[in-house]
Amino acid sequence: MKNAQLLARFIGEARDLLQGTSSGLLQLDRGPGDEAALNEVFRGFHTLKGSVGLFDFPAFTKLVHAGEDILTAVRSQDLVLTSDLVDRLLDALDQVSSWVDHLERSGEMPGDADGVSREMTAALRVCLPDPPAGGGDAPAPASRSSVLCVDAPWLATFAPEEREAALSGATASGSALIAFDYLPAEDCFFFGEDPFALVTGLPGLQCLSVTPVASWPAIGTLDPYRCHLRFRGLVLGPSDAVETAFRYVPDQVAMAPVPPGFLGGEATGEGAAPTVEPWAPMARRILGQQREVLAFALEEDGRAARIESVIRTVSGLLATGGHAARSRLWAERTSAASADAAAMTELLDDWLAADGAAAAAPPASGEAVPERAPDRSRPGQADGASQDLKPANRVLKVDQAKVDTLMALIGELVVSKNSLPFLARRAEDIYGSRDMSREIKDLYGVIDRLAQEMQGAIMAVRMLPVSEVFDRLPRLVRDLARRLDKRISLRIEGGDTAADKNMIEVLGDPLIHVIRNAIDHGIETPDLREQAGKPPEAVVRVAAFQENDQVVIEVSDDGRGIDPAKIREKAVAKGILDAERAARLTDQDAINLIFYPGFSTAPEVSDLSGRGVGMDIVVTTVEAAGGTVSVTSETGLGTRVRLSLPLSMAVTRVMLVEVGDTPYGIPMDHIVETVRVRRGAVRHIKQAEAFVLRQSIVPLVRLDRVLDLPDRRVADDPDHEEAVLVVRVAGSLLGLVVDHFREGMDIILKPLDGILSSVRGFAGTALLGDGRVLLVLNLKELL
Amino acid sequence: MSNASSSPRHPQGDEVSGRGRILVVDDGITMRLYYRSVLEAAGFEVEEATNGVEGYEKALASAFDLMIVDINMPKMDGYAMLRAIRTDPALCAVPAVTISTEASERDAQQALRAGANFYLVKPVGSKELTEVALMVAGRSPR
Amino acid sequence: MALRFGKNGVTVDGGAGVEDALTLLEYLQSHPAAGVNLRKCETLHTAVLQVILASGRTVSAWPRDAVLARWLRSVFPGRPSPGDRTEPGRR
Repeated sequence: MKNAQLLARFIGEARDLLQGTSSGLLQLDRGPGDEAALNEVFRGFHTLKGSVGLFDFPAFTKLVHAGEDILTAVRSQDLVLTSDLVDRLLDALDQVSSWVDHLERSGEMPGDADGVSREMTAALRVCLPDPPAGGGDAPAPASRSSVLCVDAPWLATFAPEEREAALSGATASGSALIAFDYLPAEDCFFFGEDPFALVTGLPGLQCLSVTPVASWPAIGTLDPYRCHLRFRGLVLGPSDAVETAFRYVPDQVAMAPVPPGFLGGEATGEGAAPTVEPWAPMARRILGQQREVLAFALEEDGRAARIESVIRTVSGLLATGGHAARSRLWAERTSAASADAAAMTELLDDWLAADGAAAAAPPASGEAVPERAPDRSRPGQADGASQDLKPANRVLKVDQAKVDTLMALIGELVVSKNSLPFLARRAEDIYGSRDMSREIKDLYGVIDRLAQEMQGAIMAVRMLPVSEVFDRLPRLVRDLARRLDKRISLRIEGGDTAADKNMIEVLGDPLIHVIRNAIDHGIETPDLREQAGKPPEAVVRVAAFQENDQVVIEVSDDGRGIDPAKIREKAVAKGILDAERAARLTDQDAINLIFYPGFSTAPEVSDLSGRGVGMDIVVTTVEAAGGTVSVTSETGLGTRVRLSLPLSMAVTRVMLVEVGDTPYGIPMDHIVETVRVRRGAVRHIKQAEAFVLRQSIVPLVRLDRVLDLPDRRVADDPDHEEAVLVVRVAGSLLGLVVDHFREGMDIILKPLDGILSSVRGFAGTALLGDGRVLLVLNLKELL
Repeated sequence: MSNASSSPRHPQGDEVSGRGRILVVDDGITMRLYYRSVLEAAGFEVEEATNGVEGYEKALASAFDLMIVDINMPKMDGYAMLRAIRTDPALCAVPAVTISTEASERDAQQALRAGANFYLVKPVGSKELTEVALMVAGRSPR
Repeated sequence: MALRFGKNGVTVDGGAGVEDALTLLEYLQSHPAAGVNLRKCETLHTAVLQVILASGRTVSAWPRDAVLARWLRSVFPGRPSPGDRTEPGRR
């Protein structure tokens, strides 16, 4: 454990708690009946106390403990929270806060902390109703455990015949036998204490052992005024009488009742090797508490639920080694259909008694514990209150890098979760456990949902309204219109449509380009418009809206539109295609030619939009971000350009295929369907292959060849079925022959970088759940 | 004071890999880090939840060998979470240890009654925590 | 002063108090063979008991007071006694 790390965590937590607790206190000061605030304040002190207990800062612990006790009393309505008390608690929080600052600077508490803590703790504790006598209520963290573990070596402290006598004494008197372990303070003689007299004065003392705490020093170095002794013994109860005897030294004594049945009458004898493995003290404690749990189960008609957990707990414990025989016995006893609490209790009792003693039960505590009512806090209430505290719609400014980090982390999570289906398959295929496989799949479902929700949540944080881009447009349109002597009215709709900020960034340039094009080429001058019977003022409409998981931006104008005839002419003139093919194009296909690299429809290159970039740059940019561009136009009536972008570009859905034992990812939006084609059904057209899919010829491309993988000779069996992935690339269908289809999955695509960035044909890489790297193909580049 | 020889801290090598999963439910972020670091050092896989509701949901979502549950937590306290767990047939067998700052016998009884199998008082030393985890979840046959 | 020092040993007469511890310690240091006679001892302060235990001397006679004698007998390692080894040191 790196302590520094833990301390740093604690400092952060403490600051959060201090803030919440202080504001809760102020809230309470205004409205003392606010139960939610009271709970929050209580929990603040409580959690601080728990966390600081991990460190050795007693001054800190004592002060927050005092605060917690005050709030406990307030919660149980034993104490009224006055403004004065609130002040004291706030003072305590201020002090704690300065300690936290000091801890952050130096890693230690300031030198005066003990004194300060003592004063402030006292100032708080005087407010408590009925302060417990002797202040024994606040056990210092270093005080010895109040629970004594009575085990075999411990009992071997006493001679067998003495133990027997003690037992018969207990049986005869009907009193409880109590074991005590008394370790007097070293300086106890200075307080007039005489431990030996105290112990031998115990009524009903049965056995006594006095041993040095450490081995005796040389007689010459012994300090006779310091107590080096430890007293252990068995005494006949009742326990409160014993407690009374030790009332001045409660922190130096541990006690535990020794349940009847221990010793079993026959002494194991000094040094006699036990026949079974002795229990470690912790094991004994655990077993002892299982007995208690079983007792509760018995009270409640042997509730099976409790028994199950006891079975598991004890089985686990027995599996820790050295308990093979007991483990078998336990399995026998509990596998019986009617594993009942009584039989199990009996077995546990046997075991606990076997090596000489019974389970240590915590000492019966006579002190009155103030009624704690954790159940009173109604679920959700604290939350509601803390929400009430905050003004609605508070905006948090977050550094974008932090959001990006979060995004990246969630990306990792999405990738990690993908390992679960692999694991499920392994569980089934390799370990043959369907149940496990199913459990893992169920788990995957849960994590998948959470990851998606989380992604959604963080996406929402990254969402920006498209108005970020739209806001630039009015100025642009106005300037353009004036320079071209056109009259244009710009209408913007859906500016509050939100999209991922990356998308908004991608959107900016293409959008401006489209609008420039529209104004430059589409919109006529006012006189031309009037001749055409249109109002002199043209309308350019920019509308944003969400469609499924896409954000769509439409730019439409009521200009002259695109004339397909002119496009054909120009395409032929530019040598893009011959006249015959141009004539065969549909009007829409002709219009689509404007996306062709270098194509421009304006008779002359204007100084605005014709800077060597045409619509092709718009398409390239948008498609790179996973979007699409389309144009529709009616000659004389106007043009509409539609930019469609994914709401976010974080996650790509791909389908996994395998070629030559290597997985490749194919972006899902290319995929039309998966089919199996008999090799005999493959048509050979010269070098090329094709097959018939619903009456159309689909060319076949072997992915291994495209990827230049080593040629693998496959048996030329006409009945062999090829796995064919039908994809649509650049508008036409294509069959990709792969070895196997695998599942679809969400991935975080990482672009190839470094020297790989120039490799064509790959969209990027992603990490698979089983640790392999997935290459994601860019079909457009590849084919 | 014990001469018990079976130290559970040194399990045989082949069993180390089979260490279990532990769900830690505590609203204190420092406590969770502490549990996580101690338990992971002992070879356990640790999952965290910050309150009883989350703890219950996580317990439902996947299998654990042991749950370590704080008592005083927001939304749903440890007692309520344990009661919920113990009424759920899928979860009733999972051993649970409560670790709370409350040291009284009464609190211990209440925790055991609610559904805990073992009760420890904060602060729990790393050695003690490791020992309990190994004993209860170290090699439980799953 | 409940202690009477002789050449061969020390006798505790009546009640030995905490103030006797240092004197007894010094005597035992200078008389390595001396035994301790507790026959007339009525009370024995822990500090004195501790000195006798630490010195490892034998008790030549147990108190006439049966109760005191019983507990003192169980305390002295002249008899089969607790297999308590070195304690891990006190806090």
